[in-house]
Amino acid sequence: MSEENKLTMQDLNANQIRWCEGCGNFSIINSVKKLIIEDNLDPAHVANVSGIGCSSRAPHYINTYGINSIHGRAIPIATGLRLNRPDLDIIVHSGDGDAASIGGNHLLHGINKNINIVFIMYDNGLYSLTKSQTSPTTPRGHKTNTTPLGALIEPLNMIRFALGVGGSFVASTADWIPGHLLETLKKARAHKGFSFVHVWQRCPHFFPDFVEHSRLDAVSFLTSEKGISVPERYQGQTTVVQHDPKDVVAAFKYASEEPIYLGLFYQDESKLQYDELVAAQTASAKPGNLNEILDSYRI
Amino acid sequence: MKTQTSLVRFEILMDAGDGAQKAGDILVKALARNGRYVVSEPIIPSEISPPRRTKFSMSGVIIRIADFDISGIGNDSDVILASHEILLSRRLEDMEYHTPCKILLDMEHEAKNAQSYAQVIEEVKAKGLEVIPFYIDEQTKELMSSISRDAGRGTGNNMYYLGILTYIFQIDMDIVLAVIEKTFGKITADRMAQNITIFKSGYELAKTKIGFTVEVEARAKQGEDKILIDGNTAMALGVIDAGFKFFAGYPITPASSIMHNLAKNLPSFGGRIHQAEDEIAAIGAAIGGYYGGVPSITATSGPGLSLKQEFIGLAVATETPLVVIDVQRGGPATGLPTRTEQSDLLAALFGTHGDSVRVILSVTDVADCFYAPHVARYLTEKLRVPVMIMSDGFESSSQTVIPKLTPYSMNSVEDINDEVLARFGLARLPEYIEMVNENQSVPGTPEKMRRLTGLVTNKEGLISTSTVTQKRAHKIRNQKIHTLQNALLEPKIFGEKEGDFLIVSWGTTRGAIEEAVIKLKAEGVSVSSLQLKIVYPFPAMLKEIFSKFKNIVTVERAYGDEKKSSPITMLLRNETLVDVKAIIAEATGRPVTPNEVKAKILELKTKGGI
Repeated sequence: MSEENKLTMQDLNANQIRWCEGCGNFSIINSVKKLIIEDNLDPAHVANVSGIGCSSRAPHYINTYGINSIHGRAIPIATGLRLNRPDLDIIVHSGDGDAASIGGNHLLHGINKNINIVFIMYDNGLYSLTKSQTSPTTPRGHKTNTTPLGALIEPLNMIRFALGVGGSFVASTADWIPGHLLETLKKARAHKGFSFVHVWQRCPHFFPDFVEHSRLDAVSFLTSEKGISVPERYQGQTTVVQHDPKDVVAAFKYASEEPIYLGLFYQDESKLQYDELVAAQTASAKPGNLNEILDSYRI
Repeated sequence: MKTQTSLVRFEILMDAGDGAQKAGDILVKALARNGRYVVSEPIIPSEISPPRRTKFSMSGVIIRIADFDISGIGNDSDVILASHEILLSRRLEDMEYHTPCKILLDMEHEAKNAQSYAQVIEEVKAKGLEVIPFYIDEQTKELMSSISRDAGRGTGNNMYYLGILTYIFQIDMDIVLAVIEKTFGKITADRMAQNITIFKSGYELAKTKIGFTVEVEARAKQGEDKILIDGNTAMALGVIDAGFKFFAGYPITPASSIMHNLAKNLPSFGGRIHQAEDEIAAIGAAIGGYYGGVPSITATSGPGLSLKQEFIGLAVATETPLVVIDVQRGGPATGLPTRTEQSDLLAALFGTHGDSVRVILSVTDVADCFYAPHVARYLTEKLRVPVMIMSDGFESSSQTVIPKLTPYSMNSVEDINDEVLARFGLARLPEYIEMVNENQSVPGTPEKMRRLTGLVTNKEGLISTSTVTQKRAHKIRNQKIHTLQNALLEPKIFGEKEGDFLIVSWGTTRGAIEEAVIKLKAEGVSVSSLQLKIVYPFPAMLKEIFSKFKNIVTVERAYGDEKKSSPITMLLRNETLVDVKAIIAEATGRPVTPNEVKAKILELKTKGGI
């Protein structure tokens, strides 16, 4: 694209956004739009796929192709689309209820099959579109409409989950650090395979203090040459660790520590991709002749 | 003793893994080459290798031979060959035998199980059936055990039984030998000779010691220019020929063999196969494929249909084409996985929440299985409404000899062959069909980007919660079904266009019903039948057709009683306001038989109508 035809943020606006003021989702879709612009993508060859929930409305608000499907099932649709359309950039948008609860099985297998998609998990620690119920990532003791005395169990650690089921790209970022978020998305898109991008996200209405975003030392960073850089304003203000993204043992360790770590936990560029293997199988099959196959059933 | 007949049914029962189905295959092919009409159905145990000499290890094949064209497996067997008494006793529980029925019982295990044999033989005699015990000679037994030892499985008895049955049904020995050679093409010459020796010993035993024959005149075209194929295989090949390039599925009985076949063949036609993590993911991937503009299909059975419902609704709302094959089995819950039923009609049609339109196709024989995917693709791409293809457990595995199918290599839906449409009672749809969303572009199309959603949308595809939008969306979706109804041809009636009884049914009951109609007409009963292939929507002229008959009755392998109409009865009554009544509304796990239908019509005739 030449300079004058260059895509603008306005070009990528679609339907009027209906999220609450102060919602962390704005920052996430802005980063997705910037990714499209800065990576020079053709919006007609981008498909945003989602399930149900506040975050799953994202495809409506980005002027590309998209489908806002049913609860928890974005990955099956993205899988069918990826297997048939290797030419598209596919970005899945999924909340913590959508991804970790109703869609947990698909997430497990999407990661394990290493299907080439960018998966953004918008984690705000509860169900919000249905008006505050506990989700698998709700911190223990947090009160919601279904747990008026506080959530009963420890939250599911999504980074450990993604590492445990064989994630080839596992990163965490935060909606209030847009530079870090955009850089993470760019690395995720560049990665071939299932890129699991966990985003700490604030729900201003039901759970504004899910993460203490105003305090710089509420988050720590993993960084390295191949990893994601540490934003300037955090440098010297919080813990920063040099971490080799090939070191899965250290990745598990940081995933288990407080305060929460952001950055690239793990990347394995050699993991085989299911969609490519399926394509290769088809490409290498000997051309068939239906008449001959029918003849093989001759009596 | 020689019996000449136009129709006979027999079966072979052996422990699972002993090769009953292989023997059955050879017999069916030989019978067909020899000019007989033939249909067969395997008896498959629910487990993989159940313990031998138990009721659970019953495996076998039922074969029906006729001197006229048949597509059903009929009622009851005239001859049963069992490798031991326990299988025989188990099979008699199904009550699928004629009285009298000749029972050939291998006595090999009798020495060690004298009491059990004596007891079963008593049972059999008490039922008025004739037991013909036989012993395999020592020399042949020795040969059989050496073969099974080398192969590490089986007993070798199947070749012996093949010999017995070749004699009894008077199949040309040279033809049987030719089929054996083709079937066992890869074994050594020595091994082939041993197998043939065993086969000939069985033949000799039947000739010298059993001594009866049942002969069916060879009235079908002789020779090898026919195929022996089961419903799921024909369906899989039809999926390929209809131009589907993506299949997503999850293992489930009895639909799985469609996926097995496509896994082997679809890549050779540029298509892709995906075994998903569950039933829901499978249909989701098929929707994802069609969303990407690639003809996509999924297949399922029983519980899988329940799991797929929410996604079917998404395809309706987003106007994404989708084809779902449902190979029906006994339900509810796990039900009867390896047996047949037609209980899914209402779930297939109405199973999703909200007003969720769809088209129901059904198959009435193995050739329909091959052509249904063509029609389904045509309808789903033109209407952008999900199409369900209803088959069943019986059709999935029953093998029929049919003239070789004609492939069409359909590329685009406009290529569809008019004869294929007519086979399903359909004319071409109009060029323009109104959609809820005016923009139906596929990802990759520049300047026409759109976001699909399960939320209600207006014609620009934008979410709108206004009453007008919801009303319009419902109306347009239903109008698509009405458009299809207008394209339905007048349904073919088997028999006269007026009379005392019209039997209405759908799916694989056709063969049994038409045989019953032939028999009843021969006895002077005024009866015709109408088999629906597009089960929903119904042809508009149905009421008019019904008005020419005194009684409209239905036959269906689904439950109904005096207070609860069976599914097809319920739908027909609603559509026509005619007092349609079910004469068969039972789900037993076994296909409907001609005698069942005949008996019910005669009963009704005696009563003076419904």
